[in-house]
Amino acid sequence: MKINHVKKVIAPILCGFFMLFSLAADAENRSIPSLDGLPQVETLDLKNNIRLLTIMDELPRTEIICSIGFGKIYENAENAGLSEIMAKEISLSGTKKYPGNELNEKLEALGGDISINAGWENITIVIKVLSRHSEFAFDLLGDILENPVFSKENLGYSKKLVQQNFKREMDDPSNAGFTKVREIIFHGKGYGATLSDRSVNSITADTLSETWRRIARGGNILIAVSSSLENEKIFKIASEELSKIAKGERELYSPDNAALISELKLKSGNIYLLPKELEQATIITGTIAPEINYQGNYSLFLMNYILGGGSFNSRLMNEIRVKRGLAYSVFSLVRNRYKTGVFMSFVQTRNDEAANVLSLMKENIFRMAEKEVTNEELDWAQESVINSYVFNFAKTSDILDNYLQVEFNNLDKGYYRDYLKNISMVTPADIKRESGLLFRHGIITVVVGNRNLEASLKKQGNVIILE
Amino acid sequence: MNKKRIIKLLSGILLLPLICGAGASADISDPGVYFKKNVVERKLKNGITLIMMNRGYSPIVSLHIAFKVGSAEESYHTQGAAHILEHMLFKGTDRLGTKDYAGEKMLLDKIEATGETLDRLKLQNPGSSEIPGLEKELQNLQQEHSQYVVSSPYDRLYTSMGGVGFNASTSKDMTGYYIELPAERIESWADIESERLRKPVFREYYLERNNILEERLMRYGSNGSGYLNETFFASAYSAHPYRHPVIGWESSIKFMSINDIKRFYNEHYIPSRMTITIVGKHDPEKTYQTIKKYFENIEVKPEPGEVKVIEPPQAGEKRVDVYFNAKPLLMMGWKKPAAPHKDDYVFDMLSSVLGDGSSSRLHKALVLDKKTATSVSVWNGAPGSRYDNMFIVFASPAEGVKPEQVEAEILAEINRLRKEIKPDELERVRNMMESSFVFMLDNNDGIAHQLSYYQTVSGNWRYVADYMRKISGITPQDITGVIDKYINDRNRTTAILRDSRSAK
Repeated sequence: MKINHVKKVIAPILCGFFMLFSLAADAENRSIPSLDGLPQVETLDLKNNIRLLTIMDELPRTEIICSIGFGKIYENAENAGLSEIMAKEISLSGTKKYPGNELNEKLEALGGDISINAGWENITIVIKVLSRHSEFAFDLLGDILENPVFSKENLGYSKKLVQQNFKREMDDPSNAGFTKVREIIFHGKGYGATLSDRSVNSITADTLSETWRRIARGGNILIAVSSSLENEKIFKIASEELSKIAKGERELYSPDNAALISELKLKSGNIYLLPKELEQATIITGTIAPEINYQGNYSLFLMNYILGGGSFNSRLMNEIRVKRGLAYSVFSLVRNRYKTGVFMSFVQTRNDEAANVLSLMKENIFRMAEKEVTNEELDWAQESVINSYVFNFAKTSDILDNYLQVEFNNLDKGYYRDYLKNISMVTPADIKRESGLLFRHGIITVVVGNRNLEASLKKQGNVIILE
Repeated sequence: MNKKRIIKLLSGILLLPLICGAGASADISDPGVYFKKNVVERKLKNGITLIMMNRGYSPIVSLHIAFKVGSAEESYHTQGAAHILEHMLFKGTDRLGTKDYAGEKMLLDKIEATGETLDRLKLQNPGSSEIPGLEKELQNLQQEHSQYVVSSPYDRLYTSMGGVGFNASTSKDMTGYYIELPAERIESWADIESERLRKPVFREYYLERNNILEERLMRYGSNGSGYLNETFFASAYSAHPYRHPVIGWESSIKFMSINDIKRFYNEHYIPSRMTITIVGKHDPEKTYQTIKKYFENIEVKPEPGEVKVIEPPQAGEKRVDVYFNAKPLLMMGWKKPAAPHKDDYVFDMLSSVLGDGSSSRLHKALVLDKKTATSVSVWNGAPGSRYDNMFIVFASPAEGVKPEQVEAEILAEINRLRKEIKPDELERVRNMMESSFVFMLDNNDGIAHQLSYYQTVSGNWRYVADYMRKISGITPQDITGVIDKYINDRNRTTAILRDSRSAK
């Protein structure tokens, strides 16, 4: 290990905060909380290209977040479930050194905790131990990365658990609705890849081994550590325990966005009704959003804040819940990822109001592209984002997560430094323009609810029953 | 409503050499000392309890206000009132949330009179020809009233200040109001919240009542585990108010009188039942002066008294089946004493041995070995903690496995545990508790929740501080003792959710 590889990357970011806050305070007379005293992040590239980010924390614990570039978004209709089954199989079958449940038993005996989960873009292994067990935690992580057991004997059960959990999740109308919207928008690929019996059956122990060998390699692994141990000590342990991991390249995904947009245009305006006999209808609308490096995302973030992401004062909440008493839960969201993104809005309302509420949703969504938001709305949104910015750095894990985002998404190193400046420069015209671009391909709607909603929903668009 | 799962804390001997250096004292040898050394407690003259901790590196604070009142305080007339009241506390005051209160007040009175008449008529004479006319009148009045309203006034103020997590929750035992703010906003918060609690105006009542009906549908009408949970406790308790759901029944919400909500507020939102908790980077002495300035003049009122109904002893197993549009679930539970009874600590240990982690007894037996369940969890202290409560096991049977088989296997596992508890199992649990305590200390809000909860529910936040000491002495014999005393058929309630789709 070469400690001189350590780069202090927090410095430019912190300078940015202070500069920006001074400017913002002068220009707007806003009271900006100081971010003085944040813990420093240090980075180290191991010889095998694993990037290590560390924060020295005061709590006597070590938390390791290992992020491997591969997740559900890398899948398609043929292999949907691969990343989740891989994560489940490691949890159940363990590693060469810690086979089966021994992995969990050893760790829990020391009071530690491990989770292995497949997300959209990453398989994430989180290990938490008291600091005195740090070496064991890294030993465990090293063995998971290097020697996971993908046994033919256990694979069947791992698949079964993933399948059954998926079915249980689909019992929930919200989960069923979100899954179906993504599946339709993304044509069953990437963001829309949906687990099926066929896709699960296609996965073998060999598939898991080959995929793991490809993805669990240096250039595709980011590790963030928060510990009371000195950074140098962490670097030393990590270098020793992780040195056998092979070098490798970043695993990327590349959706065919042009083709997806063409498909979406054909489906635009359709209402897909997923029958479920309930007293309440779940309505979700959605469309494709830009990838994370798109400059217009600052405008889209504020658009979403004003539309449905900004709590009770957002338009959807105000129009549907507060003024009319038609829903408890209503919101919208934009998620921008490495090479793709999605916009969705969500509401649950009683069946007899479903068509009316869908109409209100669409009216408010499309108005963002038709008419500029008011200065008062934009001021509120910008002020809220600026004044709450400090909460993005409230815990050491928050700080590390920000760094992981920068690394994974190839964001500009000054991304967090410049974030508020970019937010404060957005105008009502920017929001209108970007909303127009976002919604120009149209939106699709999924309703999870009674079969007999078809008649009333027809007034809002072409209804397709999903059986 | 945002019911939280209370995390029971800690155990063992702990060494925390450097916790939270920016504020809290670092020389700690165990969490009990850590809390006792760093928590500052004050009592205001009107009876409000103030708990503070200075910690962390970020200039932010977590602010909690809790009242010792929940659905346990409700009668048959008011089931759901505590939760509706919580929602109404977001509607503003005579100065906030209105464009012209004098003008608005006249309309509010008319809305109230019309709404009350309408509810009464719908209950007494649902076929009355007057109903459509009154409904129209109420709608018109609400429309007119909307011109006076500035909606969601607190949300606007707090988000502009940079607040996050502005929310509230109601449980069987308590009601809480939360936010996290930049530390420099403590005084603004105190100003806003003290007025919010002193002079609330219950505007938009009938619209909000409809929203709560939607919330009920979301939590219990669309969700199998919510539905099973509600059914389970309604069956397990015969008399005690723990039997009715926090949100209330559909009909009790639909016809809840605004006057009952006002009475509930006047009787229960009183200083002696109120705790303010502030955790984060701040100066406790300065904060104390600020809190005194804004909260100490809240009027003292008489204590409403404790719940008089005591759940009679159970004289036999209670079983209930429900059908729902979802995969099967199993819930079984046994009545037991609540904290600070010694047996409650023992049940905490039993709960962890059986259900915490992948090496717990039930996970290993049912999920890994027999493969008859896809998940099993154990919960000590449901549905509340101010009155005697229950020890619960919750399981998701694997596809094709009957819930009754899972039930039998859970009972067999408990019986096996009764016969032999390995010392390393208790050691594992103590280690896990010790660690989870340290892990929890990384954020203001988690600490604030714990302090606020225990001060409100058990009357003393030191429950957290003393917990490790109490639990460290628990022996295998103690665990066998509570199994023998409480885990029996006579004291058991079992509820099974069956898939209505496969029952057709």
